[in-house]
Amino acid sequence: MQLVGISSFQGRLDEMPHQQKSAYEGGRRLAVPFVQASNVQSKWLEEITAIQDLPPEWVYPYDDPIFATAWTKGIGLTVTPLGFADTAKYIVADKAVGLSADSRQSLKELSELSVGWDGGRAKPIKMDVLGDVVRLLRWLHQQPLYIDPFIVPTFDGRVQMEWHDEKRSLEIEAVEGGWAVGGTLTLSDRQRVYFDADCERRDFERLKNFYDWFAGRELIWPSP
Amino acid sequence: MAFPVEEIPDDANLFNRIHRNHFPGGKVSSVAFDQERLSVNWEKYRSAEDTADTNSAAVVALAAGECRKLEQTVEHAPIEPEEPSGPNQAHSEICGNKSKSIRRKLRDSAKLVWQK
Repeated sequence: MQLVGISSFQGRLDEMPHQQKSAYEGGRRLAVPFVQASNVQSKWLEEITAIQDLPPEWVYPYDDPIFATAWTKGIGLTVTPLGFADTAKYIVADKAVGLSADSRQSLKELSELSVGWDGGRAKPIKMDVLGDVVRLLRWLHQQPLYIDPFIVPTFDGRVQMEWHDEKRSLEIEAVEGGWAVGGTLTLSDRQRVYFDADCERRDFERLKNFYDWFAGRELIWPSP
Repeated sequence: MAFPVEEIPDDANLFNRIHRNHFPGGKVSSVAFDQERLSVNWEKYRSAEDTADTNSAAVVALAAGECRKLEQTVEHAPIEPEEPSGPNQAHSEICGNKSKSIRRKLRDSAKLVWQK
């Protein structure tokens, strides 16, 4: 299927054509909105996200339908074909709207890494991985005293999120099929204790337990 | 004439350049050590500053003995003049499986010796 972007609408939500509004009814978004993001368009995306206030798992599942060329022509919209990679970037960027400016900037930079970004053989970051990172961060963002992680690229095209404070650090690395989680506890004599765990990709509840450990709300490392 | 391959003593420092993407907030990420054969420069033949390249945010020093304690082997692997990115008599490799906890232990044993 050829994917498309819709470039004809650049106004506020209440000025949006009826046909596009209807695409957002029923609690799910159905379109990849734009070919070229602008400030106006970003604001429009923010309005959409705020109005819907969807839980992360509802926003753009990977099998979401995307406007097909014929359909958009039928409602009189200007369309421009997008490659799959670009479309995936828009999906990730759209989902990231509720995150902090720093996290959005990190995600944008990660999405732009090309082959050999390390000067060697490092791979570009997989968009599905970034999508899962956004889901997880949106979920964690709802927790009290949430702080943004550092997000760093791995050489195999995935990412690792890191939180550090004086006593504890937490690393959540995207690996094939899930997450590898590592915790480090620094004791009062400066000795370190290392913990490891694996977690399924969509097991946000368990990941939240690890974050709670980092935040000091759980004293014991959450073991299986 | 080819560079001789030498035994690297436990107290030798090995310089590892840290890519700017792996130095967020001035903190070295354990991801920087995620290579089965991690390229480093032996301090005997190259300085920390000369180890950095245009993408480096920092250079850290790893003690060869500390690497060996983490089930790694340390091999002197000089690069000859006719080889890509040669000559580099300092080139060495920290070899072995680097699990998540080993990467973190390498990170925690590393000393920051140069920063952009």
